[in-house]
Amino acid sequence: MNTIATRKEGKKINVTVQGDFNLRTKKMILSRLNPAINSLTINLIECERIDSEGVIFLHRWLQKGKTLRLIEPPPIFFEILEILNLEEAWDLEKIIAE
Amino acid sequence: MDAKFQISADEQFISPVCDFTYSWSVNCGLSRGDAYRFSVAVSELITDVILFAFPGDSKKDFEIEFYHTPYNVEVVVCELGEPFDPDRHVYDTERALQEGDFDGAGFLLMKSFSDNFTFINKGKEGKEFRLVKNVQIHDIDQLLQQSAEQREAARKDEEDQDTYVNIEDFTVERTKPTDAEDISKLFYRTYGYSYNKEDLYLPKKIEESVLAKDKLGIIARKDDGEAIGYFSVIPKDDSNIAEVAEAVVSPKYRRNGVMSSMMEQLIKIAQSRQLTMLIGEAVTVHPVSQKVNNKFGYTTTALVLASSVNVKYKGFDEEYPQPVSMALDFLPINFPKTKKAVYLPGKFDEMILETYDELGLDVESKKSGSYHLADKSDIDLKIDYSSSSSLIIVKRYGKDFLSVLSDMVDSLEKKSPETILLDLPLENRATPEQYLNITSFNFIYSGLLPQFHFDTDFLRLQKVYSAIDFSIIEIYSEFGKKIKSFIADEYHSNTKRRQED
Repeated sequence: MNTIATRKEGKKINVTVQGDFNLRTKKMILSRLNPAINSLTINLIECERIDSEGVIFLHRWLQKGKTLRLIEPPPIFFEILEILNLEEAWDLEKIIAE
Repeated sequence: MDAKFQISADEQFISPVCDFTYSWSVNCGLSRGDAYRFSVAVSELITDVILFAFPGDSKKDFEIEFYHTPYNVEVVVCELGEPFDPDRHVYDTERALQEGDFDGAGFLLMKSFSDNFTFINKGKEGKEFRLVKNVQIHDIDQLLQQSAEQREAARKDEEDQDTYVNIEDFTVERTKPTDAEDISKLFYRTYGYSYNKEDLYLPKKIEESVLAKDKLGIIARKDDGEAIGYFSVIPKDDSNIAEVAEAVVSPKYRRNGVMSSMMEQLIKIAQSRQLTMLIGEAVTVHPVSQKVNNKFGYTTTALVLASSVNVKYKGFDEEYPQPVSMALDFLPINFPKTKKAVYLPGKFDEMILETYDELGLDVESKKSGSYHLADKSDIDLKIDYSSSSSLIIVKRYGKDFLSVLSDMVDSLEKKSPETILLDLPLENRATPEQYLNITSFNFIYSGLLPQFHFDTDFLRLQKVYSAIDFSIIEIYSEFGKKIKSFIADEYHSNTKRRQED
């Protein structure tokens, strides 16, 4: 079962995803956001699977000019970016946290 | 079928279904990486069904079915939600980047993370989505200790030295899991690596099928324990009949009655299990298999054109120039003694009645009279991805039969099939009239399939999409030749009519 844990600090929010990052996870994250938040950090260390719903959500977040940091996304995440030809639109060096 | 779930169109079920898909796929032989990607394809499919077939919060149910063969895994999703056509949702990178419109992204990922994605529009019967991932079969047989070249050279030496050896005694008995390695070696010694069922070179796969009782197998051994023959049948899952799967006798021990003894033993086992028929599917690139079947009393009842892909057969220098057609041979073993009533389309009644006669089966050909059509049809679809052929099985005619069949055929034709087979129930009084309604689909005769589905008789029709040269289809029995000639006439007149149109 996929669950998330969130922690807000001013305009920043940290999310930890456990399980899958899919349609359900996306809706859970959306429910925790508000217009003031402009920085999203997602810990994907415990994320087993991400699908297009997860990737598209992240892409749209970036398109709004907001900050995104991802911690250890699963390998399939990079495969999906490649298949959807999104790699060049993402500044992965900035987005993927050490 | 391995499993079937009826689930609510609710996103909370995406993860559990994907977790099951992953574990089941690994269990069926996919690598962990392939199983993982396949589970993402399933995630995409279920998500699209939830979002597009059942928009809003309707949370209606849909079905998801899981099938596997030694060669692939297949997930089939059936739903009765809002109509939509995947072909109209094509992912466009520019549109995604500039407008944020990711329409079609899910379908692109489904195709990328599976080996085959098929959409079947069943009209009022709903929609069906099929995802297939092939099992990559590698290594694991004990023979891997040697290089392929060394093995082939050794086999050729053995073949050169082959002369028939007379043996005084041998035993035949049911296969056990411990026979798996000997069975693999038998196939290797007989066919090299040219046999078309790769799992027979994999002792572990054979052991699994024996343990799972997927097959009824017989192994013949000499007194010193050496395996010299193997024969197996697979019970069909929708009828009390079994199909010959493999039959092999070590070349140098042929002409000792090994095949006959195994067949006799198998027939005894089939009789004790109350199976009503044995079926042999024989290639028509040569008459050998049909000849063996004929010797044991099988009757050719159908010819399925373009049934498997072009292959290079042992003994042929060049690739066979067209997809291989198959003769279907039937052997009644416990056929019900009561005279059953059948309803035959007028165009084929003589041929079908003659086929029953050849089989020694007594039937009563009846006129349809009045009948009642159900509101909805009940139709099954099976797709063989390796040969690009599909089988539509009509279980029940409904008022929507014509439109459902039309939608299904349209969907299948988008995948450039080699053949579409259509099985019609002969014990259903609606068949003669329903056949007349579908003549515009250009299906032609294939043959009679006694007891083939649900322990009832079916008429098989076929629609063939490649050019067929009937002169190179070899049929052994006289009656089989008559069926071939009947089909050839219909094929040619059908082709001519379509060209004129």
